[in-house]
Amino acid sequence: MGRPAVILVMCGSSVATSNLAAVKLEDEADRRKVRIVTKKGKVADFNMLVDLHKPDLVVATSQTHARDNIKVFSGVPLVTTLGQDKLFDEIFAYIKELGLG
Amino acid sequence: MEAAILENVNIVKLNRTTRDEVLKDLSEIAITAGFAKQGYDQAIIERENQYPTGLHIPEVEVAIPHADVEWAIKPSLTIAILDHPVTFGSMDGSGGDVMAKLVFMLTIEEPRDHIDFLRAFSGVIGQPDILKDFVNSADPGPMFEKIRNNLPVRQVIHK
Repeated sequence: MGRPAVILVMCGSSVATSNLAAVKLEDEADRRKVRIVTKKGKVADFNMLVDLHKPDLVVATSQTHARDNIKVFSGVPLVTTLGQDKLFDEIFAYIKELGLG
Repeated sequence: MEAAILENVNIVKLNRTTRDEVLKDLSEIAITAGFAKQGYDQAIIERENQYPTGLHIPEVEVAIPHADVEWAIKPSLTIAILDHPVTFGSMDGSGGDVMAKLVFMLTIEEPRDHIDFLRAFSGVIGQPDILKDFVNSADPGPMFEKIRNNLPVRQVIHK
């Protein structure tokens, strides 16, 4: 596998859901033995964060616009646990598709 | 295992028709209890306008409003059981508006201190049966018990 996948994890205020989503992603990556790096932030800072971190994909619990063909996944399943496993499968399949992790 | 947030809980039954009325009521409780600063009601309404917190849970839709850390004095959870569901926006915009029956308003002063609680909480809010029981009984005991069971048991490090 290639280098660790850089995942930008975002929510509205960086208070609750992005932190939760990032921790869950990190734990799942450990479990699957895939290497990721998570960067957290607010949706309001999206453009700045994309320029800064150059993420391979984005997981956002709040709505955000797309940019530069960077794939955006809704992180809401990580907040409710409904559809969480399916989301993990999709995210990690995408990381594999990119040849990362 | 305990969670700091669960030390600071208030539960109220509300008969309101709009989101902002609910948020004002909840904010007033948190402010009076010393968990949130004056102005929390405005902050949480503004945040909800920009970044809604409604979640589509089957049968018992919920909302988890919260404002930026600067507005929180102590970590807390103020819960409203609504007589009639009230419209909240959907967090990621999917599934149309949320008709929230339960509102869990959080005050978080340091996000890093509450990850375990949030994770345990997320394991419970996705369970309609637990939420339905809570709505019907207004007794948070079983719900909080489940949350506590989801909290990690800390390792004891021997120096």
